[in-house]
Amino acid sequence: MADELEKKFEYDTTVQIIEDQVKAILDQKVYDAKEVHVWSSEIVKRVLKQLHKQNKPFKYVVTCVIMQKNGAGLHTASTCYWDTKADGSCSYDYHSNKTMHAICTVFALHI
Amino acid sequence: MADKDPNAYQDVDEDDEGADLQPTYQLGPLSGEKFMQHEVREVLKEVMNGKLKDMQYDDSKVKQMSLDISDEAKTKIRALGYKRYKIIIQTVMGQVKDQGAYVTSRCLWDVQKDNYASYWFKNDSLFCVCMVFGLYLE
Repeated sequence: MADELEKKFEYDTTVQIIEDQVKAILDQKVYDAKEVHVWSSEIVKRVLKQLHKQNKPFKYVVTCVIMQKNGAGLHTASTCYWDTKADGSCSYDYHSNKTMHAICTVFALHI
Repeated sequence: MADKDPNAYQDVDEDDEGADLQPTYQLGPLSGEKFMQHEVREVLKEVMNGKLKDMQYDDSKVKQMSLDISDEAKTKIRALGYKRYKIIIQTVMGQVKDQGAYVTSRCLWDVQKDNYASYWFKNDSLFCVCMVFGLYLE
């Protein structure tokens, strides 16, 4: 039984992790082209660290897109060839900042 | 990719097809089967240049176009014949309007067996970044 629970990807806890890290780094900040690479690396590093702390038998891919708010449109799409029972992905869209958008996606693949 | 070469090392469980894979007791991909970054990048280049060459950013069409690019890339990459690899493709498309944008990714995986490939395309009205991650299934 414990095996069954461990096998599935947990959407809710993962979204919460992403939301916490993105907000911690980007809240109150203004888009700065010189700092953005630092922020996006930090977000991705921290999310990965939190996911790793959960100690689950998963491989992770974390991506982050940060774009300045300029009226321009942005779309993200993903397709995956994997085990639909055990693997999963989740995405968080951060838009409460006045100067930038951020989209962070986590893909988790069961080993 | 020919997979019935009688001289090559063949595994006992040879009928695995699609996602229902049995354990092979192999620890890693065989020498000819490792995820090749340059090969996948060429496929991405071909797909994106073909689909986006003269396209203008149009909000109603971009959504379907990003899904089409992801699907076509997935079909072509699967046709390259990487056995036991799970494939993830992410496509980001945006309008060009003098704004700054940054795309980052980081992964927790097996450095010797897993790999990624990416390609970006830009014209006067849109930009598109496509990332492909290949992860070995033990």
